[in-house]
Amino acid sequence: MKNLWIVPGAPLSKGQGWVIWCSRKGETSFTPPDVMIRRQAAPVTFQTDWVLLPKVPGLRRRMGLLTVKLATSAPPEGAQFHLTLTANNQSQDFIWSTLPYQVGGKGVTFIFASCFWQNNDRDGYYRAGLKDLQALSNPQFKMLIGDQVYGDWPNSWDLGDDAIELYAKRYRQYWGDAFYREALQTCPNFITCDDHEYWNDFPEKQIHLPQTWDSKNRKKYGRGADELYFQFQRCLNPDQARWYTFTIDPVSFFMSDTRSERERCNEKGTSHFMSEEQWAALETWQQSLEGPGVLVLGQPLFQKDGDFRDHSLSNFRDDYARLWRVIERSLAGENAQKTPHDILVLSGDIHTGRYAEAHGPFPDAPYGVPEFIASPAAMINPGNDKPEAPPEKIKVRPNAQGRESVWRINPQNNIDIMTIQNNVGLVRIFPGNKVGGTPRIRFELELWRLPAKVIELDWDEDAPAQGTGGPLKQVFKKELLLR
Amino acid sequence: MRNSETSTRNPDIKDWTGKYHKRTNLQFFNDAFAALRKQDIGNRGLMTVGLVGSRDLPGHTLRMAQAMLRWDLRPSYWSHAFVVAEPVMARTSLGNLNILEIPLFPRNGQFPKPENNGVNEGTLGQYDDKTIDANVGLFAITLSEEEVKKLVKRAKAWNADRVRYNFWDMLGAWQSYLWSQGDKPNPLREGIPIAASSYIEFIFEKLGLGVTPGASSSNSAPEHLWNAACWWHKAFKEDNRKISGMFVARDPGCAMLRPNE
Repeated sequence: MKNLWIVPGAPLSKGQGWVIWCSRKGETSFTPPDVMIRRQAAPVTFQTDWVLLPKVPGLRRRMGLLTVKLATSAPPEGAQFHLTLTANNQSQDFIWSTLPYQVGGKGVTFIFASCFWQNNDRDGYYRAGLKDLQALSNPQFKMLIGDQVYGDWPNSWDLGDDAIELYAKRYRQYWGDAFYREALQTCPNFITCDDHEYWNDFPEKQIHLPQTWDSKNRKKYGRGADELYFQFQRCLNPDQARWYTFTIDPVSFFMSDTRSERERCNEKGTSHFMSEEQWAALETWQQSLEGPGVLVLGQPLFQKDGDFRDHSLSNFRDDYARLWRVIERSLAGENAQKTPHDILVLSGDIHTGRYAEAHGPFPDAPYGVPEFIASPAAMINPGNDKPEAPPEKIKVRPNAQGRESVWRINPQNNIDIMTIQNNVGLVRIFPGNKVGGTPRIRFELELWRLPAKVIELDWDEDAPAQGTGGPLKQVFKKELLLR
Repeated sequence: MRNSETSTRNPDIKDWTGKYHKRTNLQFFNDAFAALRKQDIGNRGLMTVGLVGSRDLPGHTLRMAQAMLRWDLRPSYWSHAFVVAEPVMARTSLGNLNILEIPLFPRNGQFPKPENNGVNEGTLGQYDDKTIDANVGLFAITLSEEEVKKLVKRAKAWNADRVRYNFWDMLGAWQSYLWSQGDKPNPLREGIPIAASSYIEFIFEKLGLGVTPGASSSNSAPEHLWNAACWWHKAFKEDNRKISGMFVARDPGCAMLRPNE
């Protein structure tokens, strides 16, 4: 359907259905597509609810959310449904799963990805990889964890454009690309943002973007970017939230947003990358864990301090220590259950697919703090010419006991993979065995190199940093048994 | 290879080796189409899938390469796959029955057409010689008439998704592997599918049907189609579909033809 853009949002909890984002050109209201749903070739009954999002002058599109609620909830392990959406005598078919709400024998599979620069993927290799992975592994959902759009690069910002028009142009380029829409359509999406939904290192000023040079303009363009982030992406989330949690029993997920609420970084390290409200939600989540936690961060936990060009979470000294304290409390069993729970960190942003473990003062956590990064889905140009390594030592001060704890990432033993080839992460979760009386959940982590055009080299040419291309390929696999 | 978690082989895949060991492949196909029609499956042959296991040099190479996809690490029975492109009627001459395929070595003597993404319009008669094509099979999936029409359309839209299904490039990789006689790595290990079976995947994807559910990498091969037919019948049943078929395996061990054979 060329005239109606469709993207599945977060699947509803308890296997109840989906939220479907629809967008049409023009500023007038429109009606939702007709929906037909089948499961195992048999028609399924359901209810729909249609809400048009507020009109945004200058956007030149309207968006609406179609909530499709199944009359009978799908089973706890999730189920696949065949949806046919029809508008203006054109139909499009989708096969989407409901959200599992329990880790059962069939397991739970999801993909996560970040950093898609459309200008370098006009042939649709990201879409090709996601479609092949959908066929191979049947992920039930995916997490898009930042930089789904590069609002600020290439830097063709017209000084005459107002904030909405400026970002609307870029969103039209990305969402208007049928290949990108297909990538978004492979399965339902959970979303968070990072800086390029706004501009590089948001909310800091950027030398190459005059619109960010003074505070008044930063506010104006930041608001514009945020409004379109809502219209195109955030509205797909549960309760249209910036951050949120969901549970696939006993695994609980916290999708954070360390960007949109961020303050400018001060030298004292006292500024914040999350609001107090989000902190409270994160700390409550940690306290209520009843199994392993999955914490999704737009920027890595393991990252050296940044500078004026791009700040890391660690530049926010106090917040960074607070984040580590949340993890340390979980590993120490300081929660309602009084049981240690591991937290797997998923992240993106750094144009490096990476798996690393930080080991510190919790010898009973065999994987320490595991961090798995998928980035980029399509490398920006100019991009990285080498992977970004984590720091070898991280000091948390004050830790949960008011002292200092030290976490180490040994480059030889604790980093399993680092690649700058375009990639996505895939996670499978299965029930595990008991280890020493403690029930474990088995996490299988896989990093997949996305397909890329094969480049033939002459004898006197060196291969580019991103390699010479090739088919979709699994480049890393690791199994974790988490508490 | 992924485990289907099924302990029982698909009872609807029949081994006709005993009966057809000495008969021609066209006799096998003639009776196979009739048997499928009796079972009310296969849409009069249209969009049924044929498998071929050849003993010539390309066939032997492809069958040996697929050993890595089998848990017993033995060569595959199969080197090639095709779809039947027209219905089989009472007056149809099976030797001239149109098939669509992407062979590594086109039997009709035509050089593959890049504009067709390597898809070749051949005939069933090209696979009649049981000495060369010792193993043959025919398989059908439950499909409505409307679905079959969609598949026919898809089968001829060879460039519909050339980023994912660049059969021409796949042929290049496999030709290179064949001609280099072991100097190049097995393309299946590199995630490069065999074009013939990838084409079958491409066609059935139109209906959202994964016909290689056993694959754990994007390296589709005829062995995956065979594995799906034999061991993934319960997964297809969940979608209210049945897979039926029959095969003759005169050369299970993959003996290569001698030059004068």
